This record gives sequence, structure tokens and C-alpha cells, in this order.
Amino acid sequence: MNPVIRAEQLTKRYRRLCALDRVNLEVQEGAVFALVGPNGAGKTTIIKVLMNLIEPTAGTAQVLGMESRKIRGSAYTSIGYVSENQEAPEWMRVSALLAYLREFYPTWDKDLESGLVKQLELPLERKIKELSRGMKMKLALASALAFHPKLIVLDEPFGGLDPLVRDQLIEGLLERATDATIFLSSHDLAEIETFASHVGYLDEGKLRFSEELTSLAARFREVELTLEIEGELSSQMPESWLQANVSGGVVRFVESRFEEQITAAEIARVFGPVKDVVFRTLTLREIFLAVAKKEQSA
Amino acid sequence: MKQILLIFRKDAIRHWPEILISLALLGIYAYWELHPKMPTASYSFTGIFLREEFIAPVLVFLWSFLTVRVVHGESLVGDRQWWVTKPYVWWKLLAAKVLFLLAFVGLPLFLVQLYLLHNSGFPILPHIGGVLRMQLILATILFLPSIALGSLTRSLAQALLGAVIVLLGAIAASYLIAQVPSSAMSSTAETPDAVQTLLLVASIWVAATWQYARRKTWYTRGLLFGAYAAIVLISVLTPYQKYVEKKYPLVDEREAPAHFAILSPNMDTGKNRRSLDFISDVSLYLSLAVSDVAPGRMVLVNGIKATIDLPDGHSWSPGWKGQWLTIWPEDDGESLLYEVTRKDYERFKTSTVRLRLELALTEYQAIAKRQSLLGQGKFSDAALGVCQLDPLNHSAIKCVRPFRPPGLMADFDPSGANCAMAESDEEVPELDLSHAWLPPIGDSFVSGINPVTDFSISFLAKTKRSYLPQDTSPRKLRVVHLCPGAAVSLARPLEGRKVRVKLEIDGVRLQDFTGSLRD
Repeated sequence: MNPVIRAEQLTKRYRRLCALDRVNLEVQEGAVFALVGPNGAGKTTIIKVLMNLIEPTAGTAQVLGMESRKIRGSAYTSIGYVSENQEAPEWMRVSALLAYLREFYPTWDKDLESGLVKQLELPLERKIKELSRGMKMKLALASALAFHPKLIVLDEPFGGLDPLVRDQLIEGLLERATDATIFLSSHDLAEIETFASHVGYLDEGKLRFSEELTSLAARFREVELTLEIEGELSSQMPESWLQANVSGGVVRFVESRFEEQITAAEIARVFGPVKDVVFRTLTLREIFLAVAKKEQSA
Repeated sequence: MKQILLIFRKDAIRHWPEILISLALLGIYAYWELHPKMPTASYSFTGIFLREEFIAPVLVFLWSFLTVRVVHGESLVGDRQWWVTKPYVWWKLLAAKVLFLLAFVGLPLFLVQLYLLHNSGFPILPHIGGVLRMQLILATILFLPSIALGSLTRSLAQALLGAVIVLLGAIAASYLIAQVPSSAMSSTAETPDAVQTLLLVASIWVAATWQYARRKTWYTRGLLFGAYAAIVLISVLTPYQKYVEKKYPLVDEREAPAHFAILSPNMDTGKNRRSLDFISDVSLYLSLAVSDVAPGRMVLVNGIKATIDLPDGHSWSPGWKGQWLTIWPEDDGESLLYEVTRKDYERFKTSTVRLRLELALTEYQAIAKRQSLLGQGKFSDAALGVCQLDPLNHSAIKCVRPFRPPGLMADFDPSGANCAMAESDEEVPELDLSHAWLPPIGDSFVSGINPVTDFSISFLAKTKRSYLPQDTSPRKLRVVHLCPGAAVSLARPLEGRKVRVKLEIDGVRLQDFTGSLRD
């Protein structure tokens, strides 16, 4: 299967600031890929490079088989782009904007448009400048979905929205874009955990990891073990153990390459016989916190 | 085409108030052009801007404003615009903007221009090509730069700032070029002039197109700045003196179309010579004896260069300065003005020097000469257009004609006319032959809004040109008096030789030339 998005050694520098640092990334067709990371990590920058809104300093990116630098004009008939930062034509009415955009897309689905207007409760006769932020995002989403794009790119679509609007947007997105590949950036981990199939973690311009959410959840465990004899942390702990600490006779750490038998064998090698071992699955938020703290301490 | 029309329709819906204002102002402009002597609208603040003299500049400003606004509808600066990630095709977007300007500015203006031609008594069909050429030139000097300005800015405030920067750049360039010796005769450097014009127009055209195609704002701004720097550099480095001397080859006095001699300043009747110390430039009044202009010809002094040979063997010259002085067969003397900086003047004013002058001359021959009787009221003339005697100035004929005044050499001999004029305390009728002159203008450049140009053919009495202001004795001005039924001789000026002559006078001081014009 061809990747819908592929980035190789993608780099973007603003003078001394390296916003993207040799990022390699692949997003497969049909995936809901969530790019997460703290503020200033480079999420918007990578999306702008992929959308050819800015040019990379080095490296290449391909979107739907096209070199990102060549994406313009008719290429956008296959890409729906929604960003919290986009400046809409405030003077237009909602209905006028939809009618105007309708003519640009050969694949525009009038029924889908009507369905989205109804589902997202868009006020057709209101001017865009009179809409709330949430309404503007809904309008942007409706206009990005109504032409059946192959790829939907959303830059921080849920930021600052109330939970109800967020749910409406996610529902709209999942119900109406079943055939599309979705690539979105967010720092709201709890939200994306519910619907993303893949996740990438970007921090300080570097892509720390990028994988399927199920495999990510499977390879991270919090391990809590009770030692037979109270002692210090061993210096022989493997690198995959994150945030290790000891309190009394109890050792806690996050295993980032969890396989039950191998992890148990590693514990026995490092600590010898233990009284008790408990493995607990982690939420996406806990996984990212563990990884982020490791990066910070590094 | 569908996308072009979509964008065009969207822009028309958005900008209808500006379109209506533009059309209304165009209507007012046409009204003023057709009724130039009507009472003014009012003296209120808004009324002032609707007066005849303001309406054309207001109209031009509004068109530029409208162009920038329409371009800003899909701003090309930045990466947050909603339309950038929509399937806009750049050339269709640009075409839609051009279509908008054609539909709401070009077409209404075209119709008004045809109506103005028709109303002035000129047929429309033979002049459609000229009107279209006017529109093309207006598009090049107004709309193209406005599109470029709009495409490189994201708000009206930025556009205004950009316009101010352009204006300051033009002022700085003009100042810099004025410091280059002989740059006043820059029109002689035809190749650099053509290169600069081409560079200017092409850079603006490429900038607007490139910005639409790629939205590389800083690169495009850099391109324009580079073109500006290149134009200034060409201006500064052009050897204007060489161009003047090449265009006006030096000829021997015997071959010159007129003979000249510098009159010694002590022959000047002006005794109270003084210069105004607070003015940065000092004008030297150079009196010349002239003779031997062939009958049926006229010699135009296009430029003058003065060189001072100092007693220590050094020479000094501020280079060529432009002139526009006509010399007719009857003329026996003329005065030329030559400006030098006060600093230079103060250095040499008391030194006894040798003054050398070079004059760049063009000879014109009157061809296709014919007699024309001045009519009562309005009268038509194939070459002049529609004319009438100027009711406010008896020495002049006012005419209107499509696009540009004709090249003209005209004579009026009052002895053959019966134009009685009562002598007053201040004026007496001119009894000698007088002349009028309109330079031939090339067909290519027709600027402005109104295709009907008005011009005046003024016959100047010979003495009027050499009026001596500080002579306090009661004098009467000789005035040419035209009247209906009088015959004037009209001819087309045929440009002949361009030559340069040298004159010199020894043992003079600059301060002796700072008097006023010679009688």
C-alpha cells in the first residue's frame, strides 16, 4: 500500500530555530494519524510544509504522490484542509461561501453538504464574521468534507472548543469521511485516543516515534514490583525502562518495550527474586508524559 | 473560464459600493469635461473633491484603491488565507482580477472616452485604436503597479506604507540622478532610457505575475528592489554628456543652422545686477546675438553647456542643462538661463575667466505650409481639430483635438490682417511677424483619461520674450491681436539636423552674468 504522506529528512529552519529536524514520516491510506506534541513542537510547521504553505529548508515530502512543493491549484480538489489559524472571508454568508466553493470541486456532494449543515447546525444566513470560533471550525470542516477528499488535514481542530462542539466535530469527521485518510495535529491526547489509528509524537522538531496506536499501547506498561529486600535502583536497568523510582521496597517504572516474558526475565536479572510484579496498561497521556520526561531529562 | 467568472462574480458582489462610487465619479468627471465652465459643486469639504480640478486625481486614486482592495480579496501575503488551500488556479485568479478591472473600470471609461470624442465633434471609429492605446498605457502606469502593490501587501495600511516607500524611493532616485552632470539632458540617452523603461515595466509585470504564481513575497519584493537599484544605477552611470555630444555632432560655425555670439556682459543694459543670496542655485543670464536662421525654418536650442577656463589653466563645467528656446529668422538676440550651484558660483564669481558655451540645436523646417482664415466662433481645421479664438487672450487660438496637439509652426503677419486693437496704457499692438510653435509629439505615448486634448496656439510678440523687469521707464508691451477673418500661416515642422555649436568669450566674470534678461 502506498503511503498517502511520506516525509524524508524533512527539515525547516527559521534562522537559528530548527522547527523541524530531519523528520521521517509515513501515513498509510485509510489511517487516522494524530500528530501530537507540546506547544512549539513543530506540528503546525510540518502541516504547513505538507500543504505547501511554506517550503522546507531541506528534505522532501510527498502528499498523495505529489511533491509537496508542487501542491497547488487543482491538487486541493483531493485535500481538505482545516486549521484554527485560517482567515475566512468574514464578509460572506455561510450559504454564499458553500455555494461559492461548490463550484470549485468536481466531486462536491450537495447532499453531503446538506447533511453536514444539518448535523453541524450551521446557520446558513449568518455572516462568517458573526460566527463563534466553534461555528467557524464547523464551517471549515463542512467545506473540507463535502467534496469527498482523499486526504483530510486538520491543524489543531479542537483547540479551545467546548466539549459539545468537539464531539460534534469528531462525529462529523468520522461519519462523513470514512474513505479518507485523516492527518491531524493536536495536543489534546484524551481526544485523539478515542479515534486515532496511528500516532506520532513530535517534540522540539524531532519525531520521537510514529506507530499504530494499538502497538503503542501494547508496548508500554507501568511495572510495579515489590522487592524481597529493600535496596537502591540498579545501574544495570535497560534503557527501555523509563521514570524508574524506588520507595521503600517498591520499584516503579514504565517499560517502553513490553513483552511479558522478556520483561519478567529482565526484572529477575536486575533485581533477582521479587515478591510481587504488577503490569498495568497506560493511557496515551501517561505514555507521552513518560516519553516527554525521558526527553527532558536527556 | 468558470473559475474566472466565479471569482469575478464574488468580487463584484463584495465591491459593489466601490464600483458604484467609481461609476458615479466617472460620470461627474465626464460632466465636468463636457461643461468645464459650469459653477463648481460647492465649497464644502466634500464638494471641493468633486470640483473639476480634483475629480481626475480622485478618480485615479479611487481606481488604484479599488484595484488594491480587489487583489486583497485573495491576499497573496502570508500563509493563513482560506483560499490558499482551495483549488484556485493562480492564472485564473489573476485573470478574474483583470476581468474585474476591465468590466468595472476599463469598459465604463472606454464608453465615456468614446462619448467625449463624439461630443467634441470627432468621429469614433477612426479613433478607437487610439482610445485602446490610452487604456493600455493607463493599465501599464496605474493598474499594473496597483496590482503589484496589492499582491505584495496584505492590508490597506501595508499598501499605503508600500506606496509611501515607492514615493520616497522615487524622490531619492530623482535627487540622486539630479546630481549627475548633464542628467538634465537624459532624453538624449535613448538606449539607457529604453532599457530603464523596459526594466521598470517588466519588473512590475513579472513581480505581480510571479507573486500570483508562487506567493514568494520577500523574493518578489527583492526583485522589485533589485530592479529599482538597477534603474538608479543605470541613471547614475550613464555618460549623458557623451550621448548629448553624439546626438548633437559638433559643426563648424558656417554649417550651423544659426549663427551665435556671446554678448559681453558690459553690453547688457541691466545695471543693477544682484543675485538672491538665499537661493541655493544662481542663474546666469547669457545674452546671445543670433542671426542667419534660414527663411521657413526655426532653430530650437535644446541644451546648453557652459565651461569656465580659469587663469590657472584649470577648467570647470557643471555639464549640460536643458533649454527650450525657439529662434526664428527675424530674431537678432536671445537670452539663455544657465543655473549653477551657489557653492560653485561663489568659487569663481570674481575670477576673470574665459567662458565657453556649447549649444545643442535642432533645426525645424516648415513644410506643407498653408493659409488658414480664423473663423468667427468655433471652426474646424483638419490638422488643428476644433478651434476658436481665445476669448480671454487675443494672442491665442484654443483648440481641441483627439489624443495630442499637432506639431505646428505658425506665423501671423498683422499687416495683412485687419485686427484693430486700441492702444492702452500698457499694451500696443504688435505690428511685426509673430510665431507660434507646438513641438511634434510621437504617436506612441498617449496618456491621461480624456482622449480629447485641449491646447493653445499662442503667438508671442518678439519684444515680449525679452522683457526687462528692472527697467523702470514706462513701457508698453507689444501684444499680438488675432481676430476673425485674419489669415495665419500654418505648417508642419519637419525635424532636420541636430547639431552642436561652440561659442566663447574671454575676460569675463561670472558675477557680471547674474543680471536679468537682455532687452
